[in-house]
Amino acid sequence: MAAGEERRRIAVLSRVGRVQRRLNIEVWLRALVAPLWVGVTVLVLAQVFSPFGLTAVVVGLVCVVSTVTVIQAWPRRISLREAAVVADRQAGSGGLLLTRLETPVGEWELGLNQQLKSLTMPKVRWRESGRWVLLAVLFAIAGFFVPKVQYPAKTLNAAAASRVDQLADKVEALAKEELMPEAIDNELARLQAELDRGAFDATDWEAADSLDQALNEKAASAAGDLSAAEQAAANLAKSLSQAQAIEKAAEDKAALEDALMKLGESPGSASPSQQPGETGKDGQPKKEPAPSTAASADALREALAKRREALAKSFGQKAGKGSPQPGTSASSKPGGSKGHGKGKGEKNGEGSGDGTGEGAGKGHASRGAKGGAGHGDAPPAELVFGEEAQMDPDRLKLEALPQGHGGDEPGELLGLRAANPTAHDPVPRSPATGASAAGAQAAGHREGPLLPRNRALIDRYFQSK
Amino acid sequence: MHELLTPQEVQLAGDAIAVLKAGLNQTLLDQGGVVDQVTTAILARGHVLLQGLPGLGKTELCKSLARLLSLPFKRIQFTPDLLPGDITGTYVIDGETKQFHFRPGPLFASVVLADEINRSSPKTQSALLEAMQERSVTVLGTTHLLPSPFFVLATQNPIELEGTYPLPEAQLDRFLFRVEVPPVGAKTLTSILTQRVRGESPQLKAATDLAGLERLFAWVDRVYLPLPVAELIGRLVEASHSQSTSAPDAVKRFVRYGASPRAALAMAAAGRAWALSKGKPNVGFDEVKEVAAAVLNHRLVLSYEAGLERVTAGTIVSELLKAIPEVSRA
Repeated sequence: MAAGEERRRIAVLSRVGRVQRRLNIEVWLRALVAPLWVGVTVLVLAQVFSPFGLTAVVVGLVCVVSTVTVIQAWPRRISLREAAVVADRQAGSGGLLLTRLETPVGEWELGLNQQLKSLTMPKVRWRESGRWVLLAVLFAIAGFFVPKVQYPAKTLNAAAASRVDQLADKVEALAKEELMPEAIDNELARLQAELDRGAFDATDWEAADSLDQALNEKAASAAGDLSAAEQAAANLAKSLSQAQAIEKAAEDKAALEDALMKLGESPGSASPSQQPGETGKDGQPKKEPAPSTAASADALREALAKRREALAKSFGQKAGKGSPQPGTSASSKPGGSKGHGKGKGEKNGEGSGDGTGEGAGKGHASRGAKGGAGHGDAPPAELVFGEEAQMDPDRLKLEALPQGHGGDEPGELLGLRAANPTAHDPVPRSPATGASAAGAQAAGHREGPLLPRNRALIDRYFQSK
Repeated sequence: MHELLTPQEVQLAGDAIAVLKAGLNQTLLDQGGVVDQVTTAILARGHVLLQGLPGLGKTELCKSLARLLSLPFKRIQFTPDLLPGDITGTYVIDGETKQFHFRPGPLFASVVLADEINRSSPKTQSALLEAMQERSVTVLGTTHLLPSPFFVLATQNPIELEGTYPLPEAQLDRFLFRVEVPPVGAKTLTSILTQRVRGESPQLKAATDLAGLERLFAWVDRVYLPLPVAELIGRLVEASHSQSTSAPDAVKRFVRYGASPRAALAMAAAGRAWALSKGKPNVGFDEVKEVAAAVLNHRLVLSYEAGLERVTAGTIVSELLKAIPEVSRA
């Protein structure tokens, strides 16, 4: 009984609820009109005049409009009792519906249900409110087609923007060389934000100057590091170049060694310091070891010169007129230097032939040089270096002469042995001096000034090194 | 839980009320409104102040009502020299026993006609206050209950105001209705002339007896008054005060004193009676509005400005009903 009564009551309430919802639509629409129009107007104005984004404006307006609408509509909302009064009027029940909501009506229920079935919903005057809401929406849509107002940039902001851009460029360039501290990025971001807000003031200018100074210091530091690296790279390049020169020297040494080997095989390959009749252990003439340093090379060169002088002395005219003349001997070398040696032999062996030596061949440098110097009037031939030789440090290792073969003689030239034991040194040695100086300490032409052509030859030789 | 009237009970009540109204309509031709109001007031156990020109049948209406209800009827002709004891009764000496004993006055009847009530002095008028409210009379310290039911049907002439005493507000407030008896038209007069020889009232049969009347009273009490309707009554009474924020401009301008809580009770009771007369088990807004004028128009104390501008209480009540909505916006 109670359940049925409750069902009947709920059925009546559902009818009343429909009326209530219908009436509340009108209430909410009416409450929405004014705030919506205000909000839409503000939105359109913001869209036209505000330089900032509309997202925050839209969110804020939605909140405000909703709040105002709720504040306006909430006290005016239709309660269930009010809806029941309206429904009672609409159904023409004369208060029976109101009575039904408060107390069971018993036998009057049937008549009440008949009246509720014919209940007509109250006319809601939503059209006017809905029209205003629709107009507000159209106004908002139209407002978004209005172009935004373009504000001229402020002079102060333009200068500041230029300054900030300059700093940004510096930071970007410096970031490629060095790891930038986070503080610099933050400071630059802060300055950019101040610029965007249009609040770039004197303090920000000072901060920009400080940041610029800090960037300059870091740039100077980076430049110093780069300079040091560059210097190191130059040194390295120089070192590499020198290493190539060393290799070239090794080639020269190999060529020289070949020459020395040939000298050693020839009958006149004995060291000038070697006394006539001195031979090696195996009875063969002692070979000259390859020089490992420039000093030894110089010593070797001088020793060779001495030998050449000795040989010239030994072979006098023969050497001066024959093939030992540099100009003539070079013609047979692959260098292809041509010359007609016609110089007469002198005491120091420096011929004065008039042959035209051409240094285009691949002959040994020393020989090329010698060939070039064979003619006084002819232009000096270019020095041509041989091909790369195999380096063998042990091969040219400096070894002391064995005892009894000049090694015990302080003044004896190291590494050289007289190639011609029978040759007699016409120059008497000074007892005071003993053996002559070796290497770089050896005296130059002790017997007369250096001829100008030889000087030029020597200079050209060392300059090529 | 309130037990609502059944349709059968409402039907029985309606039939009885219809018989009563039919009898009154035989007395007062073409005065249906007056008959409805008087009937409603009787069902609500209220007193009625009939106001109208002489010769409209006010007195005859009261007599007919008493006859229809089978209730004892007394008539008091109020005159300026009428004393309270003349209507309430007084103690007189019994010649045989030589003792005072109470001799009831004309108030001791179920239907009392106070004819031309405004012609007596306020002192005599005040003798009705206790009788109308408490249904009792106190004489020399002894309270005597009046018969139940007890109705006072008073008449007053709105003209010939010389030598009259306007009813005090306290007494006016005790009348449930003030019924304006309108003049009759020519058609009605023709009917009177043709149907009644020498103007005699028709011989009426009793429509009900005391038990039937008590049953009607019980049914009226069971008529349901929904809360929204009760709220409307309360708001109407509240708005009848010029100091009220909800009072319409007419009230604020022309009303000196508004209706009392007794007016709200009277309106609810009248609404119940009127709803039952209409065959409804509950009071609706319409019933309240329909009885509002009869309930309120003699309870509003109008200002002099209203008199100058000839604004009546009926006009004020109409404005009040227009201004106060049925649904409260609490």
